[in-house]
Amino acid sequence: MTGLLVTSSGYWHPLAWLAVMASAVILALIIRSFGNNRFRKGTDQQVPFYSGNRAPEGRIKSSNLYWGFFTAMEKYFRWLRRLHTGIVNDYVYWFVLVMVIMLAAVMLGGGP
Amino acid sequence: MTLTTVLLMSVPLALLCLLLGLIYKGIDRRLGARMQARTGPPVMQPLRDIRKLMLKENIVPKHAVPWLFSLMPVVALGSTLALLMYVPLFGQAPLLGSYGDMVSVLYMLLIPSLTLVIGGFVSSSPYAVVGAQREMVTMISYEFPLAITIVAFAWLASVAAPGSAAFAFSTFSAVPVWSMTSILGSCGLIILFAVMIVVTSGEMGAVPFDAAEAETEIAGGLLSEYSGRNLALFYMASAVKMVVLGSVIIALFLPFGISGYAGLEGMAAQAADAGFFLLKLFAVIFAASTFPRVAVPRLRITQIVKMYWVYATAAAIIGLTLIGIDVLVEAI
Repeated sequence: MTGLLVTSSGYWHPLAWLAVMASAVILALIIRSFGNNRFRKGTDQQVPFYSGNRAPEGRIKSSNLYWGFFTAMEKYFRWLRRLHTGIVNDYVYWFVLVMVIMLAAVMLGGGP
Repeated sequence: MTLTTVLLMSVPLALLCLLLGLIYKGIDRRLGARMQARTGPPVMQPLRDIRKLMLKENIVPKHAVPWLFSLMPVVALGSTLALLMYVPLFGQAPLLGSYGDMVSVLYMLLIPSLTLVIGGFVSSSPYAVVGAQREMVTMISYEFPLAITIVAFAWLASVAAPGSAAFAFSTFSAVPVWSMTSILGSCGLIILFAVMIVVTSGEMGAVPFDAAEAETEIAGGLLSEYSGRNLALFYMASAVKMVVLGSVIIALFLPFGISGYAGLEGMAAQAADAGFFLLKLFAVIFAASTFPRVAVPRLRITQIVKMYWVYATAAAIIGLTLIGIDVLVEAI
């Protein structure tokens, strides 16, 4: 089959996916075209909902985007920070440890 | 089956599954209400909701990125409809089963969630941004136990059915996983089944994993600025995704039909298996969405991370280990 990408255990056909995705998006656009596309521009309809208060003006800054991740995964980040000691020897120890685990996994799994 | 034939068949299949997903949503809401001693809406309510949303104004917020804001619902519905071609439905092989395996499906499952995230980020609403961040964190969290489960399946298939495509759904339809293991391995599979149900709950964004929307806290989160036909498209995408996720669980854990037991053949066998598939889909949706929504309150986002990274991952590793021990013992 032309274009089918095959590995030792899996396969997929990117062109087939693109064709299916394109037809599915066209179908979604047709469904969407049945809906009402109007609204009153320049009115308070367009002001973001902020529980009755005035929402902050402008777009959300990219610097704010990380806050949610740091808050939700605070314990993980705290653990990661402890690992980042700044001492090269520590990083080399980690590198060797990860290499050993990966080699052991490859040897036990029989490799590709 | 050629790609052109598949594309022609895909439209009626997509519309059928869209209708099916909306009806299952109605059943889910009705059952959930009955379990809380309420009457609940009619089963066809989601169809009425869609009709109403299509008639409503389609508001684009002032500081949003308009083209991205409007494109994301279309991509969300498109990507979930495309997924239908890769998963076994109604007891039949997937239409594009030879064009993509389980790993492809796993990656494609990320697209609808990513469209929600992008839609939230470009909404210019503080609530939507918080919701989008929570959705991203939830995605990062459930991917780990999900990956372990899929790896366990592929490894089991590669050992028990050498030479077969380890990541293909057809491998598990031909030889159900339950027949590949003995008692210890079956215990491992039961644990993985439970993990997949919990992961599916998160993928559906159902309570208790709906922190990204959380109407009572962040007013709908990443969907707070969506209205009209854009919101209708997201709603339809979530209905189709429900069918897709249920079908993935059925393909992996419950690929059995009833036609063989009933001694049916031909069209009657296909009809019986399709009916049985709908029953299994209902059972999976009930376990992954209806029951937890009624029984468990919403978790905080930190609790969701802990649930997936600690409890679900530990359970998945235990399941994988049990299967590994079972295979090694059988080999000896």
